[in-house]
Amino acid sequence: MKNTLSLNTGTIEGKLNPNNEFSLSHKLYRKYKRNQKSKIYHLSTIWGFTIFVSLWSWFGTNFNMASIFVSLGGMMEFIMIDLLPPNFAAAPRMMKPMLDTIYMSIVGVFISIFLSVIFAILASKTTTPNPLVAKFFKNLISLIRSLPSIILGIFLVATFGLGTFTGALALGISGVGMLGKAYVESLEEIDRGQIEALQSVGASWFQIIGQGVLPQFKPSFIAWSLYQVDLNIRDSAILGMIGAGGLGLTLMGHVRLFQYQRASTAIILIFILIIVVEYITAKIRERLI
Amino acid sequence: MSDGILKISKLTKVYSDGTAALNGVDLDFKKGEFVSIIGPSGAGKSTFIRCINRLVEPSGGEILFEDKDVIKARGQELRNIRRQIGMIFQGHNLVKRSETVKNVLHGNLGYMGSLKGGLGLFSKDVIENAIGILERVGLQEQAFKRADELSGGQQQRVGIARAMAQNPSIIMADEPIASLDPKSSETVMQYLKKVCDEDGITALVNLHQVDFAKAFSDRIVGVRKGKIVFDGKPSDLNEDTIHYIYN
Ligand SMILES: Nc1ncnc2c1ncn2[C@@H]1O[C@H](COP(=O)(O)OP(=O)(O)O)[C@@H](O)[C@H]1O
Ligand SMILES: [Mg+2]
Repeated sequence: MKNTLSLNTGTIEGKLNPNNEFSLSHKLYRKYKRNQKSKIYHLSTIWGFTIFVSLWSWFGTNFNMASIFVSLGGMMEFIMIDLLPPNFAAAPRMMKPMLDTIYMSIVGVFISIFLSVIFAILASKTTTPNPLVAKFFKNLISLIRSLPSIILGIFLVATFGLGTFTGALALGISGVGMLGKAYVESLEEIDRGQIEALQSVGASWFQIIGQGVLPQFKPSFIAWSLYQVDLNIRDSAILGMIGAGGLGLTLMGHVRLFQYQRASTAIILIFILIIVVEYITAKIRERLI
Repeated sequence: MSDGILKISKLTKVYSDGTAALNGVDLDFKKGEFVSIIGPSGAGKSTFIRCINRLVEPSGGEILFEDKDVIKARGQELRNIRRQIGMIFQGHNLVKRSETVKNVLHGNLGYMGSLKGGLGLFSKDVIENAIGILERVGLQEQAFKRADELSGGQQQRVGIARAMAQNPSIIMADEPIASLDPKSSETVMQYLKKVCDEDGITALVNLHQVDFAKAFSDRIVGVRKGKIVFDGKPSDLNEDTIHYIYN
């Protein structure tokens, strides 16, 4: 209120005497200059910091061009002699682990979706019944996101033992980090006007969620959930290595026994699986949205 | 006052940033009258009607709707008041991705159980009623199109239909024609006037255009800086008063 008043008088003075030191246009000019200056400070700080951190990390990792080329040679040798040719005779026995990987990913996605939808509705500003509840669930999602799935996997394997169920659980819980955040952001972007209209007819909270929020949320819900399927297929390969079953476990088993040509078959199957699943999810996305 | 429906006294609103949008508004509305509220942008017209259904929390004063204290109402009590007050928005505020008829059905949510309404399980007579209302605003052919496939003027008529589905005593409209071309503006105002007259509904319409206000209203209220500066018949609104309202 105060501001508006002083701006108003400013306009009048400014019109009467355009060269006045205190005229509005002069004040705004000074403000513009101040803003420009602070922008330059900000930029130089950010760039300075970025360059410093890059150099620091460069030396910290003993980064060495020469060693890259030497190791590349070693890597080529490993690939050409040890990994190739892949032993496809091992492939049929990998079908069950492959199915396990798929089950694990899909069950994981369902767990993630179930938890994320509940958490996100409670966490997002547009849908939460209470701001404190929103804060709690936002923090919970951040906490889960900060926990890498492999660490969660190690914990769960210790608690529930080896197996695909543990893998699905690890994927499901850690997926909430990504999916929950994506859902919250989509929910906060929905049109408030549509929500307000339903408030104005006397709709309850649940009715507003069902009739006003979900129709708007549907496209991003589908897109993000399918993307989580893609991510899970990759992650499940890694989780397999710590004993959660599936192709990752098979791969690790062959590596431990130095059966590299079988291992490379597993790698190729993981590749194919990722590509096929991404193709299918892309098709479903096209259909549904 | 037997035919009074809405009684507002000493209504004030100060927003959290300190903006005083309403400075003590006293107004009574009668059953069935068509009232336009005019005034420059920022005068407090939107704040006023949004206080009436508590989309904005009033800072002080009293609002009596059919003798019920609106400001004291909580939860179910507030929703029961809201379901009797239809509201039409400048930006239509339809659920764009849902079908037209679904948007009209939304007008019924206040009368349904939470679960049934949330899941969209509307009963046969509610659906038939909604289609009937769409016919009244000339949109029966559009019933199963997605709301965002309709033109601006048609969407606003769906807005009217949604309000009608509430079976309201009052319909409030916040600049219902501000984003429409003159032709559609005319049509929308005609439909609004028609359904309100037919059903004896009180209409409070925020309007920017004085000529529309004069053409359609029984009564005009002029707002300036959060205060009522004119209240009378359209014929009493002369050039000087208009000039004073709009400064
Ligand atoms: N949410 C808000 N927060 C702060 N000030 C607001 C808010 N909404 C409106 N105002 C201010 O309140 C005054 C009245 O606004 P409004 O009721 O929208 O007027 P009108 O509808 O007549 O244009 C204006 O000064 C406006 O800037
Ligand atoms: Mg307004």
